[in-house]
Amino acid sequence: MPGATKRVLIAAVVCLILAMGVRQSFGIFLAPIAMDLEVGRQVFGLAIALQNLLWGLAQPFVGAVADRFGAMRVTIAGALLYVAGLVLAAWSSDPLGLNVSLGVLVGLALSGTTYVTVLGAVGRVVPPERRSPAFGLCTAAGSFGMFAVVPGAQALLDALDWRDTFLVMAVAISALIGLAFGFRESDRLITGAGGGQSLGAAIREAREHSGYWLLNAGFFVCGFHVAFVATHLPAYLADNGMPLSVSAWSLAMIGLFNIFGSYLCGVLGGHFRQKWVLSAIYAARAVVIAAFMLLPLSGASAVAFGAAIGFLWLGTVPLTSGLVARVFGVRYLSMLYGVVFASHQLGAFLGAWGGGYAFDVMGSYDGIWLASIALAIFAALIHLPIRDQPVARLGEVAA
Amino acid sequence: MIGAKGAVLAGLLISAGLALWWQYGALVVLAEPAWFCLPR
Repeated sequence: MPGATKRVLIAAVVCLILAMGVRQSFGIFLAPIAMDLEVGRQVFGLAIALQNLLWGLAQPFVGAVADRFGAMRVTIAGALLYVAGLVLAAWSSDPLGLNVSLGVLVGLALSGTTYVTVLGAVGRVVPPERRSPAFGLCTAAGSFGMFAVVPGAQALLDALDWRDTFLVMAVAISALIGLAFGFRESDRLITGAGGGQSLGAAIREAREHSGYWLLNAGFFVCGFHVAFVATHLPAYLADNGMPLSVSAWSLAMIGLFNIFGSYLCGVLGGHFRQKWVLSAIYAARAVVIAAFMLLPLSGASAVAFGAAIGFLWLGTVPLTSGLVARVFGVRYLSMLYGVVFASHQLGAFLGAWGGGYAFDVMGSYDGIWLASIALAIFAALIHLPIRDQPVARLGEVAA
Repeated sequence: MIGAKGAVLAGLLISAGLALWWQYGALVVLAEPAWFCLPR
């Protein structure tokens, strides 16, 4: 592997471990912040909801900026916003402070420091045949961050108060500023890679491609699944008499097997057509959820479900982003994948909120589990007809 | 993509993560039951 590619990959991997890991750990701050600031828990919940919403909505635009000015500048700007958000959060004393810091600043920061920006940089330096495994490696890094940083942050919270813990995290995130320089050699390749295509033309081209719409729909389902399971699985287990340790280990298994699944799915995408692997992932999700519903619930079945669904968790990321890169090229990958990612976040919003709403209305999660199975089958089917050959323009550029 | 050195590094990191879960996993879930929509 050339040195430049290795440097970009190392920067990408460490960036994603830190950015995704810190982001995943905010939930454990809810209780200490609500208690210390004497605010309702919905105040913190609103700040995090705002963060996720802004992350998704800003992603296509931040992706377009990364495609134009390079991942290095965008990652540096994102890291500065991330640090500012965490430091301001440490100083916050009211709901407005939390909404501005953890909501607005960190939400925008995430769009500049996570998958869309980073995979855009990686996609430019890795040859097409190695792209899917490379995306898988990066996704696995983000998965590792989500897995390891949450209990690590809990360890910090045990030793420090929440304000100091945020400051420690801000110091860790500041490393992204230095890491961003690893993307320099990828950014040098920006000019010319699109064959002179304009941003508007890239949007039109994607809009007129049915496969792009199908990828958006599929990733919406992915977001729905992961947000519903991550948010409501512990509640479902508690409702059925499972102890908290079962919830903790089910979540840990999701995080652990997500690392392996993310990487393996990326590797599989290098050997088989990515749309087939995506279809298989969604079909497997339908089977796993159905088996979880049909088999008697026990601690072992809950932990096994965590492992199985975790294995299928973010394997969709290297495949979906890889398909966008394969069909439309890498010149506007961050922007085009940013739009697909926004669909994912919309699905996630519906999964987290809809799960709670359905429970309140129906008094159980049965309906939403059934909906999850139906959506998984739908997603498995819609990936099959995707036209995954590169658009004609890329052939002309190569010629 | 991942060589022997990478696999060893990944193994060590993942082991450290598992050790953290062993120590703090229940606390993560217990920290805020409402966050996970648990009954209080």
